Amino acid sequence: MKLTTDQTFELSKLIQSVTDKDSLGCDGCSELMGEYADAMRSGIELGSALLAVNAHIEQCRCCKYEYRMLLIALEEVADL
Amino acid sequence: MNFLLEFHKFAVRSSKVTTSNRGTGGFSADSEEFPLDGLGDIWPDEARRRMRLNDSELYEAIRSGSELRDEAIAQLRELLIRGLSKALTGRYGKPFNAEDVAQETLMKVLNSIDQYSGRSKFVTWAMAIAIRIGISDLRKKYHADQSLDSFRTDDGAKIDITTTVTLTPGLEFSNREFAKLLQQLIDSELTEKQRVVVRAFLSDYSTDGIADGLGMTRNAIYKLLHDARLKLKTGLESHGYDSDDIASFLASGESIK
Repeated sequence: MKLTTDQTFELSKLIQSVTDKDSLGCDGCSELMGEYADAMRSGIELGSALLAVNAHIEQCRCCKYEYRMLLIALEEVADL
Repeated sequence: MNFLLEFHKFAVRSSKVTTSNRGTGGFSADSEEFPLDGLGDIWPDEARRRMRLNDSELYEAIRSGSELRDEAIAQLRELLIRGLSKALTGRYGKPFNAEDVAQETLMKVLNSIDQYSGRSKFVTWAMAIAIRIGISDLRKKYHADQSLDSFRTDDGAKIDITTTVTLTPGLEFSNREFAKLLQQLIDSELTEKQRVVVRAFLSDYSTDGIADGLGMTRNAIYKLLHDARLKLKTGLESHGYDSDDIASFLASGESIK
């Protein structure tokens, strides 16, 4: 498979952004995402478990997208 | 809570009143009956708002099966539909039915309510489940239209980057060298399965889409991809390329787009 220029640069971004600090994985992130969202929305300091969510979200495109959509949904019902 | 219960009972009694004058706040005895969920039509918004259960009351009412359970479920359903509609309508270019997803979410919430730990708000917990279900549905529809070429292995799951990059005008020599090294690392360091995952991911598949395609879990796919990225990064670093060099390579890409 020949990568397009965009795909090549996407791959480079994936390499650049990766760290070995992600101990959580998608399942662990999923379990803590609600707690993480509440903490981020209320501006409270993150404990080590939620810092792990932060580290995962920074490296996982799919979880990051789910988190962004969750924030939009929560914002929409915040006044109810 | 007592106020809410009394208010709820009053609402149920009042829902038997008939009116032909909805929206004005007046009662009349000369027309049709209206259901409880039409209260907002005749009561001021403030009264309707005051009847709403707060987050912990919602959880308690649903968990304990109190008299307010049905109202709590209806309220949660309304919140889910509203949040889902705002967040996911129009995403992935696919049709999205918030009501179906909310229904599926409610089933899951009711079946797994014992797993709610209280570490987040109850509505946040339920909304996170809803978003996950909704996005998963959308991704399935989106991936159904995508080519399966990236999952092929009859070509050795090869990933070819040098052809594209070295022929692109405007790249400096050092960037061509960078691309050449990256190609070597892909060929020598990644397993076939890792190359398949990388190809699919770069072809716009999500990790759960790849997991479905390969019959694996999303976590396993994420780990394969993560390890592949780390191998390539370590390989580049061992040849003297750091994050700044990768940034420079990316910047050169920006200039030719």
